[in-house]
Amino acid sequence: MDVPLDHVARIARIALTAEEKQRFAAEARAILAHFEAIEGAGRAEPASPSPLAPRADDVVPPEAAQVEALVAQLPRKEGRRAKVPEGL
Amino acid sequence: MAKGEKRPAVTLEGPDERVAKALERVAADTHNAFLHVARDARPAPGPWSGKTLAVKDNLAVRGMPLTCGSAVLKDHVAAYTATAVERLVARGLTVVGKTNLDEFGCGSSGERSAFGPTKNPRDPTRVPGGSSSGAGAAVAAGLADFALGSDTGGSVRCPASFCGVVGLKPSYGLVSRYGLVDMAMSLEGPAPMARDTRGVALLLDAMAGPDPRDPVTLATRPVEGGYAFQLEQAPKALKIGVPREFLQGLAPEVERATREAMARFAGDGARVQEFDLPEAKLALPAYYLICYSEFASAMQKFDGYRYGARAAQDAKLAETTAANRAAFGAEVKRRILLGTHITMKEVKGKWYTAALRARDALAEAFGRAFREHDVLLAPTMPFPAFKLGERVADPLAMYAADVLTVSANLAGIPAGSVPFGGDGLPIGLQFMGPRGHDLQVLQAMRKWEKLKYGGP
Repeated sequence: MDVPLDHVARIARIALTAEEKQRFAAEARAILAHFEAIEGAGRAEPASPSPLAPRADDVVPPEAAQVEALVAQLPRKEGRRAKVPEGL
Repeated sequence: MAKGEKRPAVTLEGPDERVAKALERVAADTHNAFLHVARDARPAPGPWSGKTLAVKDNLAVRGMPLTCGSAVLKDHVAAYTATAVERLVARGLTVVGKTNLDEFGCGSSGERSAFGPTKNPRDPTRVPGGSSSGAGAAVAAGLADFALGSDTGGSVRCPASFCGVVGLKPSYGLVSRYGLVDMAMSLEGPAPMARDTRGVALLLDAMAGPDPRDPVTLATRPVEGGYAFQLEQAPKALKIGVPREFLQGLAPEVERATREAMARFAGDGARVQEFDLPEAKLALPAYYLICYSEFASAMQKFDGYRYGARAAQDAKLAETTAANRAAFGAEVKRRILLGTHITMKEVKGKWYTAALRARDALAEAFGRAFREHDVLLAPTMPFPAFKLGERVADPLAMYAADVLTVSANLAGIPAGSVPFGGDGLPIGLQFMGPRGHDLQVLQAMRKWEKLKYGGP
């Protein structure tokens, strides 16, 4: 299987010399041919790219008073515009 | 000693002398194991004060260079310390230097560092194994008491096997990756090395545990008394499984050693059974395809702006990035190119998604195997250390060296390498256990040391 090396190198932001292009193209072809055994392996859909799901920490809702304090800090609105202190 | 004769005076070395002598040895390193020496290091306070630690140069130690064996990072200095290193220093270990490695961990021989290859202390004409080449050589040559490497596909077990020392790849998530320069984030983790199993168990006791700075660290219950404390408690009737696929294509001396170990365990009362694990044949392609993909993504940050050498002050972004990335070595470029290619939407299903499916199948197969067996036994490497330069020009020949180690990283399970022992080039025996059961693996490794060498 041929790898479109010029296109891939541009996306990967790697400048290749002519010699490197020739060598990497041949190596990529040989490596991917060697790995073709992977086709059709396993079950229909993979579960996750990681062997462990990331740990989700509990989401603790803030107290109502805290919410009000935060809302009070929002800039005042004048029509569709927000009024901010001078100097910002 | 005759009655009345005076005992000769004995001078005990204190931590200061021990560290000073270790630094002299490191400065005189002839194996190219160290890239940087911590010349002003002083013993840290703690129960292990005076003992020394070599740290692979892809783990951050504040104020010390962090090159990852790459010319791209030759002037980079770490701004913080990795959690694993922090926890070891808190026990009193002194970091005596940063060790050589294959560039960004891309290699299995220790020959792909931008700062030259590491030599195997057991035979300087041979490779020490990689990618934690300097860490393995440092412990084998007695330059440091312990070493901290990282294992993505066998990077600690391979040098342990080739250099005749002990290395453990802990369960994925047991040790924090904070401060480890990522290569393939779903496969890797910091991994301890020492001259014996007790040493790696002690390091694991210090390093293991949750870290809020690494969200995939496991919130597991600590082992009662610690890994080192429970090391001798392996059950007499250990159930050991040996996957037949792991006995194929071995060098004759490696197969002989493995079969002798199986016989010695059976003679000691263990139940040793060979069994089929056909999914193991998918491990090497699955590993490399996933590794390429994650590596290509991880390397995007080395663009000369966020990290890496910057081009001329007035250079444009594209010029800076191209100039910076041109300094990557051949294997790094090869992996970035392949990783970029196989994750393109036109071919992603054929390669990357197929590799993830294979990984699932392999992890499930290991899960089934551990319902029958306490641990799995296999050689660590299919052959002993090869000659410097023998495989470096052939990427497929180099990848083939990892065939027995990559499965553990794909499945996220613990695996350790312990020397078979005896004369000649070192050969490593590998034990694997269920995820989170690192103690079982350490106990089996310790059991082998006792079977081979006797002792309490």
